[in-house]
Amino acid sequence: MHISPLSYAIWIAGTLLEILVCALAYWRGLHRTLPFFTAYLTAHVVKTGIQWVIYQQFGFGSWAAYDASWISNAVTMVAQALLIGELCHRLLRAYPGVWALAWRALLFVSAAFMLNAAIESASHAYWLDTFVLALDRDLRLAAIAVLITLLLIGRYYELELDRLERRIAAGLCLYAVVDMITSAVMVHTVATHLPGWIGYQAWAQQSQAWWNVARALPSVGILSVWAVTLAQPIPATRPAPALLPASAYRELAPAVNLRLRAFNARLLELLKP
Amino acid sequence: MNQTLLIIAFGLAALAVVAALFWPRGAKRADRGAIAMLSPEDLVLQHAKYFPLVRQALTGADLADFGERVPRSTRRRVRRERHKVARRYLEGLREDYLRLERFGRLVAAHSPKVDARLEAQRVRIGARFRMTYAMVSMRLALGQVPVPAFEHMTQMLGSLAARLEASMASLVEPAPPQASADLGA
Repeated sequence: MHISPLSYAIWIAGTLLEILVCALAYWRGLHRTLPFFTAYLTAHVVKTGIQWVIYQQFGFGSWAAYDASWISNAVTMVAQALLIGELCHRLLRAYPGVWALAWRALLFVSAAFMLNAAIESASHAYWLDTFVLALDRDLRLAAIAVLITLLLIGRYYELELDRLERRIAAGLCLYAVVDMITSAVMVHTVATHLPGWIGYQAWAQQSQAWWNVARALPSVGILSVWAVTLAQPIPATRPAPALLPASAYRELAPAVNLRLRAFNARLLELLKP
Repeated sequence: MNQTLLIIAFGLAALAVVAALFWPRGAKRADRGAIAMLSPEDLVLQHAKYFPLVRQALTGADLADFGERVPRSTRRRVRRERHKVARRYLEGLREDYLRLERFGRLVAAHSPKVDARLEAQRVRIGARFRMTYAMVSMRLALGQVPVPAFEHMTQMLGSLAARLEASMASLVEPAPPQASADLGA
């Protein structure tokens, strides 16, 4: 299979950026503070290295390249799931009360979307391409849902992520959205024209080129942002917040809610004629 | 195709939500290292206390003294001004509400244990408040100024504020020095 010059240029830029960001992460000591983020970056670098060797040995369009691509994709998705878990823990660990509530919500959201991924991909099981793409699409969907739930909880309780963590979360979201959309378009196109499409192979090769470019371009952008962030000194981890005594919540929370509810009732009275 | 479009729409909506969540906010934000922002001042009603002045403006008693001597155009203008005052007052009450709601959230965030039922209740009350507020604003926009209802609401807010401040004071008093400082006292 022929690789277009654009795909090749983007692939080289992406690879160099992956190596740079990974090196910066180790240099900044993130393997100690954000081990799963560092593992995620390392997995991407290893994945690219393995893919490069396989492309050299067997060719870009070979079955070996196909298998290696999806297996390494599965590994990086596991690394991404662990990274999202790490972000959840980093944001909420200092707030035991909120954490006790949030982990259940996050677990529920991730379980619901994983179930959806299992059902949806099983419905496309008649063809390996659509099965893998559907699974990829729906796992990205689950990642987006969990990240957005986490960010909403953080926003509601005014818990602040550090600059680097914010950029990691935003990058993961953007990356997952792009992957999800490109996978969805591919699943639809493949499922519509199969089976019985004589020119499928030629079409698949051509569409795979734009699919790779569409996925790689945002990735290059995200890696650039991460590289710039890691090139700057990382602020020291903020100290854990001082917590109120448990009695404060027991006393104040019902009183605040009572007052808010009474406020609401009065506001409703304004609507009465 | 419908499913694909749905996923694309979801993806774009997700991007919009993420952009909105990362958009810097003007308001003060809680910091991991400090909860000095948790202050008893959050309980003080800053706008409700101006109700006597607002009531005077809303009832327009002074205008009635002029009777027929006041031209129609002037009365119309005064009515418009009254509506404007009512709207601003309602906005002020909303600020009081939001500050109190935020106080509740910060207390929860900085507590070692929270009650899921109370948290869900606050979310529900907040949603209902925002809906009701929108409807009252619409009613004001249509030209209705329900003065007695405003008065009731203000009195209620005042009494609840006093109760809440008392319970907060009782918490601050016996607490260890660390906890007292945490309350921003």
